[in-house]
Amino acid sequence: MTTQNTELWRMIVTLSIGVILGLGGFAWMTQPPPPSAQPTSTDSKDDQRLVQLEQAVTALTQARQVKQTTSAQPEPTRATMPANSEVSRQDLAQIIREEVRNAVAQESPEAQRAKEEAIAEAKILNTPENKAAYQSASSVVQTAVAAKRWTEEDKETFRAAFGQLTNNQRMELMNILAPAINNGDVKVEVTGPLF
Amino acid sequence: MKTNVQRLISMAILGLALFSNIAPVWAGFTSRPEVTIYDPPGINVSASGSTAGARYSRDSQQSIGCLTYTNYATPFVTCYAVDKTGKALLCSSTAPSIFTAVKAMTDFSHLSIFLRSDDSSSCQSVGVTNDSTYLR
Repeated sequence: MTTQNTELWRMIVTLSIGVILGLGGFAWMTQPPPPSAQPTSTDSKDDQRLVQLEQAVTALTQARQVKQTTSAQPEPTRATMPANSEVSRQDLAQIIREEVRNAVAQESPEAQRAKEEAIAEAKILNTPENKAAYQSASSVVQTAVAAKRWTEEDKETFRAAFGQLTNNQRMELMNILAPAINNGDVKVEVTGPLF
Repeated sequence: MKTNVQRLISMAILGLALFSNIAPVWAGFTSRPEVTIYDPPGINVSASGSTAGARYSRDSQQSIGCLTYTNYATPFVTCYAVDKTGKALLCSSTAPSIFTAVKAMTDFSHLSIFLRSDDSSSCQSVGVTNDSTYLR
């Protein structure tokens, strides 16, 4: 009997430990990950914008309250207060609009692309290779416009230089060459691609 | 002699029967428009033509195509066309929509290039049609 009781107790204890361990393990595995301690720079920027917007909205609310109080207590200056209040409301509304517009503009893909473009061009602009390429391409275009012909030699020189230019430099040269060719002022004497 | 002739004819018939299936049969509508440059008064200057039409034209002048430079975030595209008289059209663009159109070009493409009316060096649009009729 004692042996049987001991066996029973041992089984109960073993089962209890198993259940506790199982529940503990399950709770540990299913707990959500801790939130990120450090916000990203984008979050930080957004927070700053949000704070600015909140400040503007608070100021707007205060201005409205001032207006309501003023209209509830007629004063000799009553005639001028609504006009001032209206002006400040318009100013605040304008600030909010500008903030929102700026925030949207800064996040647009076009703005991002323009930023990347400016950085990439700044790295290349005025490097020795870029300077040499621009001089070469520019000289070819000026010579072709003066000679009124676009030759195979021009094509080869221009093509070699064109790849080293920034987009703004390319457009600048195309603004000279393309109208001259399109108007027939420069005769194309090449076969295949123009450059 | 007669036997030789008969053998020759039978060999020819056999050869015809064996190899006639190899010869391709071309069917279907084909069109290879050559390069044309339009400069009507009051309308944007434009050029059109198929790559196959320019390539297989009888003169050695015609050419139509585009160049793309993609070393910056904004791609730079230049399109050009030269007709059989040597008259040429050239324009450039950094518009992503034009780059997308140019990327669709194949060797069975028909191109339509339009200049902007206010800027004779910029492309207003580039149309690309890919069609079986333009296949060589």
